[in-house]
Amino acid sequence: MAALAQAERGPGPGQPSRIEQARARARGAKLAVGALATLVFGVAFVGAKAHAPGHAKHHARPLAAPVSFEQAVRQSALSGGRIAPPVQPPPVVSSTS
Amino acid sequence: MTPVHRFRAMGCEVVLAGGDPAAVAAVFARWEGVFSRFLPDSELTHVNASTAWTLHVSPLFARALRVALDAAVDTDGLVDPTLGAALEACGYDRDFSLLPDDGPPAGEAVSSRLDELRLDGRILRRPPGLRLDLNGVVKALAVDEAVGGLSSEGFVSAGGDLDTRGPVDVGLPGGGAVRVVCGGLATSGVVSRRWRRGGEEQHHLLDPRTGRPCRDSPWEQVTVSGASCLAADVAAKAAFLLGEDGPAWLDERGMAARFVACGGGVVLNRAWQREIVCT
Repeated sequence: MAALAQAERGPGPGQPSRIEQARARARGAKLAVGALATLVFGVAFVGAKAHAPGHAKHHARPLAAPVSFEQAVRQSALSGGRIAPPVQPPPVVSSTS
Repeated sequence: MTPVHRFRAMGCEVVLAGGDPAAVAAVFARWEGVFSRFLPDSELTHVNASTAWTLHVSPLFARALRVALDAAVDTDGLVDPTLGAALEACGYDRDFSLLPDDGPPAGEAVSSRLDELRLDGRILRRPPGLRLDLNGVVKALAVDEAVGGLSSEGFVSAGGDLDTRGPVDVGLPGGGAVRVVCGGLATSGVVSRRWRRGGEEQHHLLDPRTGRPCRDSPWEQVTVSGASCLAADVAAKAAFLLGEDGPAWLDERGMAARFVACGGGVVLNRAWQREIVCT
């Protein structure tokens, strides 16, 4: 009964009206929603940059095979040349330097 | 006959025919400027002196080191680029022409540190103090590059390791000759580059397991025919270090080789005999 009487009388002196209280609640809600949206955007932005960059920041490099694979398939540089019996006096000598 | 030109580079005599001597000299100067252990401003000197664990090296340095690491794989670690400190411990710490005939005893042996080195592109990671010596591949790489720049048929030889464009007859250690039809020919051995420390004979072909000059090889000089000077040079060093197993090891790879034994006898592996007989 006392509250009903108070509501009928309106806010007391120095107290915000119901409209002002509603506006204050709306301001708080807007701030909370804005902060939440900014936070979600920031997390999504950083996540996207880290996991799916739109463009490379450095020169593109070809996809490399694992070192173990490269070692397994790498051609040895050690292969033979072709020699034959000599046909004229040699202009040069192979020796230990 | 194509005129033959001679000059000195990388501590040895360079002989060439079929190209511009100045252009070939420029190739050798560039390689020596980067990879000399004795030039104070060479990149190798800076790399060896650096206290950083990670270094960004030049494209040429990275390329040669990659080749050296591949050579180590191909030879099961016999040709090893991490023996710079071992060579210095044996007394080879300055240009060979400046080495005294004898000196204090060799320092503590330094064996291979191949597993401590990584090269990713141009990023080199290795502990400070690991000293590189790329002489096992650099001279041959310079020869191969110089031959690639020849304007006509000819050859380039550095200290007896050569690559050819077109057939060239080449004299062999201990006498005789062979025609190199294509590819390179290289000789490794202990006839030259010998010195003494503490009265003990030293040479530059180190056993990577001990960090000391290889003393149990029966060979004095090993000559190998390869698809390039690099292939021939790496194979000749490995075959020397393999000792008695050298001829068969090269036969497995189809590389013709001629071995001069310490006693003076000559051994031809099966590939050499086959090529000379069949051609």
